[in-house]
Amino acid sequence: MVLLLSLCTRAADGLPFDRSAINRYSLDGLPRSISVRQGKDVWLGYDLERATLRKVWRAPRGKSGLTGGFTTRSVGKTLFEDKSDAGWSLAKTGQTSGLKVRYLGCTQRDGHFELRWELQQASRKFRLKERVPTTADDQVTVWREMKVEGLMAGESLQLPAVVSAAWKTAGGRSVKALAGKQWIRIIIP
Amino acid sequence: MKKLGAILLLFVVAKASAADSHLLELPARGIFSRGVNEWDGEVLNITKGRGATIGWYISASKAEEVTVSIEYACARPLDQEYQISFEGQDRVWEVSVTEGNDWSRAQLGVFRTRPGLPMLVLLVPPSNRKYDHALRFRRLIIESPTAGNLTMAQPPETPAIPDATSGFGAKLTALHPALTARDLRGETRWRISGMALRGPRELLFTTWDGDLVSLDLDAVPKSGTPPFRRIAQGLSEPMGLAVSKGRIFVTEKNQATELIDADGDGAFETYRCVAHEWPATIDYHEYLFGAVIHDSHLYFANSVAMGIRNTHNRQAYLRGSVLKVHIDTGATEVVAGGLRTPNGIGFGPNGSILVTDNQGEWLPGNKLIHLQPEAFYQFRSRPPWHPFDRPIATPPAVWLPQGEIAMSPTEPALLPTSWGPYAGQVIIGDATFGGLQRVHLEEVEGVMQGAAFPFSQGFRHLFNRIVFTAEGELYAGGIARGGDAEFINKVSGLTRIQYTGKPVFEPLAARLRSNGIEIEFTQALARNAGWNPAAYYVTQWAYQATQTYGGQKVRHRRSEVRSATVSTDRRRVFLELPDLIANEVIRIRIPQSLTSANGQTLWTGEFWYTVNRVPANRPGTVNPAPAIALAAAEPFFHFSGKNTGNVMYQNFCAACHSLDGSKRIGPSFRNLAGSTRTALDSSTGTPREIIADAAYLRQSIIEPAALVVDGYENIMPPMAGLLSEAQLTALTRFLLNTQKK
Repeated sequence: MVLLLSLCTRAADGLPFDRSAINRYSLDGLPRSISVRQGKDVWLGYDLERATLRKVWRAPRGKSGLTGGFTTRSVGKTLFEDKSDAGWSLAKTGQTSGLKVRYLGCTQRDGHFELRWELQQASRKFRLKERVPTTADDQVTVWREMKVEGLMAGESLQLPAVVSAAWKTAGGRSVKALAGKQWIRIIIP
Repeated sequence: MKKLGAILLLFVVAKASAADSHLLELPARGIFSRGVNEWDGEVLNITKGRGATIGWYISASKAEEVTVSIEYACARPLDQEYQISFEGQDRVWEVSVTEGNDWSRAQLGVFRTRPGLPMLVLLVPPSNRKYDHALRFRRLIIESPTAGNLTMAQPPETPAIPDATSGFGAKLTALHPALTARDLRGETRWRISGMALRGPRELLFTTWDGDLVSLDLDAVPKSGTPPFRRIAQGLSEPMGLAVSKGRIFVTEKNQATELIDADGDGAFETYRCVAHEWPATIDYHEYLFGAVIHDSHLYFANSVAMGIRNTHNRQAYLRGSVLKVHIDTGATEVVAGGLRTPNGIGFGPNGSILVTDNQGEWLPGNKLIHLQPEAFYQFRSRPPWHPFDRPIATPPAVWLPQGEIAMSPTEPALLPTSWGPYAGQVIIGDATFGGLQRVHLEEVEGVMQGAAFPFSQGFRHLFNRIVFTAEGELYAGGIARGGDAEFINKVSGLTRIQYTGKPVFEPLAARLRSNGIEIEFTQALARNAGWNPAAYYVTQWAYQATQTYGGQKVRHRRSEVRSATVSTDRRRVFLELPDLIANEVIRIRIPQSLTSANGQTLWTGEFWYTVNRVPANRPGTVNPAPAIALAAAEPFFHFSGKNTGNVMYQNFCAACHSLDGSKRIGPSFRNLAGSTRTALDSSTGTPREIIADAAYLRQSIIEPAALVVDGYENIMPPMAGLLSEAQLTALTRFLLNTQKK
C-alpha cells in the first residue's frame, strides 16, 4: 500500500514536461507525437514526423483529454483535425516542392511550449518553429504561433491546405504561407 | 534473407524408390516431436504453429549441395511462411495452394551438407497460428548428386541430469560470499530503466514512469531512505541513459534525446531530438534499449514488436538493429541487425561493445553478443528483410542457455580492477532469472567467445541496469512494467553492492584448447584433487533457431572426458575433450566434493562455454594422473531423478509462478493440483471449468495458450521445444507432488 501511494502521489515539483500538460507518448496511433494542453482543457496533438498539428480537442468537463499509457487516445470534442497526408512545401518563383522533415526537439519555458523541425529541400535546409502558449486566450478557442528561419528572398513555406483553411489570423485573414522572420499567430476563433 | 519463390511442381508425386540412392526421404512419421501434432495415418496435419517440432537428423559422407523438396497438400492459402532449416542454414517457404488434397511437391532450397556429426533438418510452421484447415505433410525429399551420400540418423540420446543443488545444476539461491548488498529503496520503488554517473559521486537514473532521478552517493545515510532528487520528468519509456562530458542522453521509446538545461537553473527545459531515423509503430514491445557513448556516438538497440508479430508476424523496417547516432549531428548508422529484445548494451574487454538479447522466436537461447559491424544475429520476420539479413547468422560470443543461467539478460558491464580475481570479466543482470551472472571472455582466432558462470543471487530485487563507481561500488537498478504493487516490489528498486575481497573457491575462468578446455579456479585445489575425469560431467549441444518460440538444442549429448590434468600450481585443470567442434555449447559440472588446498568447498560448480572457434594450434597439456588421485570412494554424480522436477521448476517456472501463493506474473501453483479453475478455452473462445490434473498441467506447459486461467494474460511461451519428454514428466510430477505437501 505504501508503494502504491508513493507511485501515485509523487508530488509535482515545478519541473517542465509535467505529463498532465505535456504528453510525449503516442497519440491516436501516431508513434511520434506530442500533446500539449492549452489552458485547462484544450489539447493540441502534433505529428512530429510531418511537422503538423494533427488534432485539437477539448477534454470532457472535469476529465483529462487523454487516456491510456503509451498508446494514448484523445478524449473529448474535436475542434480541428488533419487526417490528410499533406505536408509543408517550399514555394519559389511559382514552383512548389515537397520537403523532407526532421524533428529537432522541444522546449518548455516562459509560458509556452516550442517545437522545432528542420525542413530540407535538396541541399537547402531551414527551420520551422511552432509555439503553443500554455495559457488560454479567453477571446479565442485556441491559438498558436509559427515562424520559419533560413528562407532566402523570394521563398516562402506553404502551409498544408487543411491548416490554412481552418486557421486564421486574429484579424480573420487566412495564412497560406510563412515568410520573413516574425512569429505568426493563428487562431481558431 | 534471400527469399525463395515457391516453386510448385504440379505433378503427382511418385513415391521415391528406396533403391534410388540419390534420394533420401524424410517421412512425416520419422520426426522427433515434442509438440502438438495431429496425425492421419502417415500424414501429419499441421494446424498449429506453436509447439510442433518437425525435424530429422541425417548424416552425410561428404560435403556437397543438395536440394530439398516437400510433399504436401494445402487447399487454402496460409498468411505466413514456413521456415526450412538445414544444419543452421535458413530459408523461408511461401506455401502455394494445391488442388484440394492432391499431393504436390515444392522445392524448398539448396543446402550444403558436411560430413561428420549428424545434421538437423527442420521444418517450422509459422509461429502463433492456428488454422481451421491443415497443411497436410507427408515427407521431405533430399536429392544429392552423389548416390548414397545421405542417410537418416538417430537423434542422440538426451543426457541424464545429475542430481542438483544450488550452484551445482540448480540456480543459486544466496548472495555470493564476497559481496555485501544494501537495499536502497526506502519507501519508493523506483523502476529503473537507465543508469549512469554524472561525475564521480552523482548517480543518475531514468525510470519506467519517465523521470530522471539524481542521487548524491556521498549523501546516502547509513540507514533510511537516500536523498533521491527528481530532476526531469515526462520522458517516454526511457530504457537507456548515458552521460558524456556532462551532457545527458536518453534513449526513449522512439527517439534518442538530449536533455538540456541551457539557462543552468537546474531544470531541463529542452528535450533535443538527437535522432529518430528509423520506423516505429505503437507496439508496446518496441523500445530503444541501453545507451553507451563511444567516439562521439551513442550506441543503442531497438527491439522488435511483439503485438504485431503475434498477429501478423510483421515488423517495421530496421527493427532489431543496433544503431549508432552521432551525438551532435544526429547522423544515424545501422551497425547490426537480427536482434529481438536486446535489453542491455555495455563495454567489454579492449573497448569492445557487448549486447545482450533475450531468448524467444529466432533465439534458441539468451545471448551475450560481441557487436560486429554488419552482423546479423538471426531474428527475422517477413519482407522487407533487414539489410544485413543472411541465411547463416553471426553467433553470439556466449550463449546463456534459457532457464539454466539466464532468462532475460540485461545490461553487461566490465568488473573493475578492485574486484580482485574477477576484474576484467563481465557481469550481467537478469530481469526474470535474477541475480548476477559472470562471463569470462577470450579471443580465439579473432573471434570472441567464453564461459558463463553463476555468480550471485540473494538480492532483494532484480537488476536491469548496473553502474560501477570509480571506487568499485556497484549500483544495480530493477524495473517492472504494469501496475501491480506486489510485483513491482519484488523486482524494482536500487541496490548497492560491494566486493569485500573475501576469498571464495569457485571456477574462475575457462579457456579453450585444441583438444579440450582448461578450467582456472580461484584457489589451488587440494592435493591429488581434480585428476579424475569422472569428476566432470560434460554435455554439449548446438542451437537451432526457429521462428516459433524456443528453438532447439541440436545433438544434445554427453561428452567424453578422456583425461583431467591438474597444473603444477593446482590452480588449473585441463579436461581433454575429444569431441570438440565449433558452434556448440559445452556445459561442465563439477561436484561439490572438490575442495581447495585450504579446505574450502566450492561456491558453484558449473559453467557454460560457447565454442565459436576451436584453436588450431593451442593444445592443452595432458599428464598421467597420480594413481592415488583416481581413487573415488563413491560416484561424483548421482542420478536419482528426484531433483529434476524441482530444477525444471526453478529454472523455467519460478520467475512467474510461486509455490507459496505470492503474486507473480502467472497464477501461483499453491493448491493448484486437483483444484477447479475457470479458464478461457482458446478452441471455443469461451470460459469453462477445468480440473487441474496431470493432463491439464502437461498441456499448459506444452501449449499454454490452450487454456488461460481467468484473470491472467496469455503471455506464457510454450515450453514444448525446450523440455525433453523426461523433463516434462518430471516437472509435471513435481508440481503435483508439491501440492500434496
